[in-house]
Amino acid sequence: MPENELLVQIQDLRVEFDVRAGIVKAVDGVSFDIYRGQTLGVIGESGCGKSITARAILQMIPKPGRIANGQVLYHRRARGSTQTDIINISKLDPDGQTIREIRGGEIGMIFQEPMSSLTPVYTAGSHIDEAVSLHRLTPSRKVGDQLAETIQAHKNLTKQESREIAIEMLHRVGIPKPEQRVDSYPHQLSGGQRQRVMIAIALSCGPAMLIADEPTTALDVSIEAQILDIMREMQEKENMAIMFITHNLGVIAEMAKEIVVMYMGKQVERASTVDVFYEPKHPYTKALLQSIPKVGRKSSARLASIEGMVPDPFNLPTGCVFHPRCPSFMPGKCDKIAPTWKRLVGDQWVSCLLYEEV
Amino acid sequence: MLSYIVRRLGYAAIMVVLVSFVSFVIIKLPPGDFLTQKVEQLRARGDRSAESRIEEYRIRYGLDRPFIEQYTGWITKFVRGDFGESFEYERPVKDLLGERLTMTIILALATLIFTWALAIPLGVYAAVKQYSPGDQLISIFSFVGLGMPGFLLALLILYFAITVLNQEATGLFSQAYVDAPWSIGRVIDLLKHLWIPALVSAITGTGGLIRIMRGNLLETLGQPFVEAARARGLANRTVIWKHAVRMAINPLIVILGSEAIPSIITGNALVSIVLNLPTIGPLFVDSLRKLDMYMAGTCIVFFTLLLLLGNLAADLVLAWVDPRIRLE
Amino acid sequence: MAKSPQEQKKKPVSQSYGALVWWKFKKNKLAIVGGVMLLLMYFSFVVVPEFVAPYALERRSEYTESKPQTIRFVDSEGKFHLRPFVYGLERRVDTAARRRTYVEDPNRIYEIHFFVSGDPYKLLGLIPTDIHLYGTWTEDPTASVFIMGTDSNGRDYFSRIMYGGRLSLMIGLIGQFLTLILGSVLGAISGYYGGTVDVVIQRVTEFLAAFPDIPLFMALAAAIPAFWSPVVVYFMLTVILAFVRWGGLARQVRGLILSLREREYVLAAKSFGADDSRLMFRHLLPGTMSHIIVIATLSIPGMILAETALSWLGLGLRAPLTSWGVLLQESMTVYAIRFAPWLMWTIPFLLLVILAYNMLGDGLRDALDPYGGR
Repeated sequence: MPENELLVQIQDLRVEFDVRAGIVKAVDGVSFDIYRGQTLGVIGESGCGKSITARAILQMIPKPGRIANGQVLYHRRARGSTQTDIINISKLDPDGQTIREIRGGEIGMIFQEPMSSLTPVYTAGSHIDEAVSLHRLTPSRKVGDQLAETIQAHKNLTKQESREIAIEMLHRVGIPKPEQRVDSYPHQLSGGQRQRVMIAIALSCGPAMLIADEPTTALDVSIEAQILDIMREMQEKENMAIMFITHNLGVIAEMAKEIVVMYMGKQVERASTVDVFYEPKHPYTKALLQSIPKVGRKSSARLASIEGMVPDPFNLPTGCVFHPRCPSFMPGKCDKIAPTWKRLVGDQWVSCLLYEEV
Repeated sequence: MLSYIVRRLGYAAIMVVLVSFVSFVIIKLPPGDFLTQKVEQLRARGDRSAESRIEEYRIRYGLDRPFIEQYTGWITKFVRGDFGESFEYERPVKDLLGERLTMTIILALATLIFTWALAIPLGVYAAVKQYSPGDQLISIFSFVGLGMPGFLLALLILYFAITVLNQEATGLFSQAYVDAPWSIGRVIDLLKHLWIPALVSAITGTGGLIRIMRGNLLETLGQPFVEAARARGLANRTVIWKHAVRMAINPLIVILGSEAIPSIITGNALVSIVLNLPTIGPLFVDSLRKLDMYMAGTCIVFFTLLLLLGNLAADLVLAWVDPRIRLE
Repeated sequence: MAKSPQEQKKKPVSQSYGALVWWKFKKNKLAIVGGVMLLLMYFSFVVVPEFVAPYALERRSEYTESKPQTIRFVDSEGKFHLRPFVYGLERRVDTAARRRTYVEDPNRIYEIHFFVSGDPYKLLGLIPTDIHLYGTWTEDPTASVFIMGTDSNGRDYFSRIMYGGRLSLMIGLIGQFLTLILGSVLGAISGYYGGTVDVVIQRVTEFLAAFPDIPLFMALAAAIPAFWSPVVVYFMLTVILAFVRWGGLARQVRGLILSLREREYVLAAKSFGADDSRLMFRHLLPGTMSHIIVIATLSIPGMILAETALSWLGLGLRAPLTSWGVLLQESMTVYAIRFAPWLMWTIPFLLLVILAYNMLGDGLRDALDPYGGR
């Protein structure tokens, strides 16, 4: 599989929310690329715009939000063919045929709250059945796999076939006794199991990319490890890209190859995971890394935190949005001039006046 | 599930017995009894002959026996289907009620189906197209219906029917068709009378339901599973009906048992009195005024029975619809 | 780190619960309108009906079942009068329907004056006076101003509606107040103590709930002996209304208390040594107060309607007590509908009260949840 194939391109995305008190720039000029088979991590505090960016990929920005500028491009390729169409998702009708095919069928998404992301009155099996029948895809037979036979993409599935697929999917995400669990309701499953079901639903349609919006934040650490394992396994098997959103640095270090750091709707740094952790450039990134408690530190040392508070979205600081909290604040510069997105050495990008000639 | 139903029925039976006892007590509270009432009435008309025969009648009707005896006598015969005799009409209560009981149940069911079939789509529309002109119109309509008491509305509509449409609008049938055999003419006559109670229940019954449906659905639409469903590629219509409405409707079914059914039963009773429909309502009020105790007592028991059965039915529907309750 | 100029300019905004509630309530125009309407109505109907109404409650006239006299500004000759006026009434006999009717006689003009002398009364029950809001000001004994017609005894219907409103509106308020006390206390005890007390209270409320409420009202109301004095009857009726309704409120309060009982601030108060009743009344109940007030406000129309229905059926208040329900008794016959439809004027007033309470209650409910909504 060629490594650097583009799958999704986000280009200068700006999303605004028009609320009564004013206009909130939830996403303010974000650009990055996601490649087939790779994991991109997006990290930032709550409210930094990472979730909105994810929803923009599926043209699912909730009202009263709208895309003010920029676009999301999707390099669509039919299963088994080599021809790629570039689709501008931002121009698609949110309830149109095309985007509905893409949602779930080609780009899947799993959410933070597994309990409330499943409809309480439908069983795990019926959720999977619904998704599969909708996208009429099944995992195709692979050499060495133990799956059921390939079923033609455009033939309707029988109830029995549907059920078998559901059981198989539950099995693949590691749920014990899947033939019983397939008839379970969400409230009968544990948090970890529910998230596995969500992954099963997402994967049952064989998507090219999975958007994971804080998928393990609500889970215990031990369960979290298992879920991350499954996701990595699926990625390897299916060559699936992952956009992994979280505020947890530890998790993102495990999962992502490349990381984008966001703050107040803007991207402040982008680099490979190694570079972000060993040679962070932006002061915000550095502060985030410092706030992780380290084993072995002297007990008298205080836990570092980022000074100040997230600013009021209606009253953003002038110049660089981070300057009121920045340990490297340069008076006269950072409060007057907004930094630009600049490429540093290699593949590191940063948006900070420390690296600009001003 | 079966044991649950049996338990509920048993509980209902106990309730009915308790209720019948308390009802009997309440009915017996006013001083005097049917006979003293009757005598008063006759005396007012100048007829004094009844006075002398009071004692005779009293013994005949068992009104001279102690309270407990009167009650137990009544209740034991009740379970065998003999509800006592109405003093006023001098006919078994069973006969008088029988004719009207079916009508009451039919009216209640018809009201229920009609109001829900109307309210749910309207409520869904109002929620999905929030703040649109359609929503505002529906909201105005529901606010009007919400505050409007049924029997007053019935009066207003009656006024309109009598004066503007010049219709003989009370009762279910006009004079000519009351006892006539079924025919096209009779059906048309029925419809001509039926539209008033139908309109009353449409306006009053749907008002509250629409608001609740709208409120519930608005809340449900904000929940994560709705967004998750949309993210799986489902069409808007499917997301709304198959997932959101399906969930939003559960609280309504709870209300069905605790509020909707009781208010339909009692509301219909009052409306029936205004419109003089052949249901239990008018009969009950009359029996209260006349202290016709077996009639009144039986009416209350039947009202309560309808209520309890309605509750049970609603709970069963809820258990069927919401698996979280079912599996407790 | 220096503060940027914007941060120094910001001023603090009050975010107390009370401030938020009031702010949200003020934004709800309907609720304000409802509240103002209720204040006006309670003032006119309960405090000063004798002033607003031109005639005394039982003042009869010879003009029985007369239709309303239209208020006019232009007379039959086309002359414009600055002061509104009505035409006098003249008796006609309708031979076909065999009834007496009254038609307006354009030759007799009675101007309507404001703050006129009329039937004497005691304002607020204390101050003797005879000033009325409006009326005719003439020596002519046949003058009348029946803006809503008269009933079968020739009594001005508008005046009767004013007086009737006093009883109807008060019974709703007092009855609900009693329900509030009974329901909150019992609900709080039930929720807080749990155990047998809770079970007993629960069973009682369940039992009450098994009765359909209107038939229960009716039966209990019918039990009031006819020969008791009207005041006692009124009192008993209020008690009955409260007695049937407290169960619902108690159940709600119980639920609220149950959810609040385990909250941290209760545990904190306990750790300071607060005893049970102090906890219940100073900490828990105030937390539920906002919900209770909303529920209570929205239930008042139901009470008013219950009394109206009962009295209309002849099972509640009876003459000489006059409430809207008693007034409706006269209007709900086919005869009345056909020949004296103005007797239904009670209905708009009733509906207005219900509407006002609903608007107010809705606004209160929205306002008391300042963190919810859009």
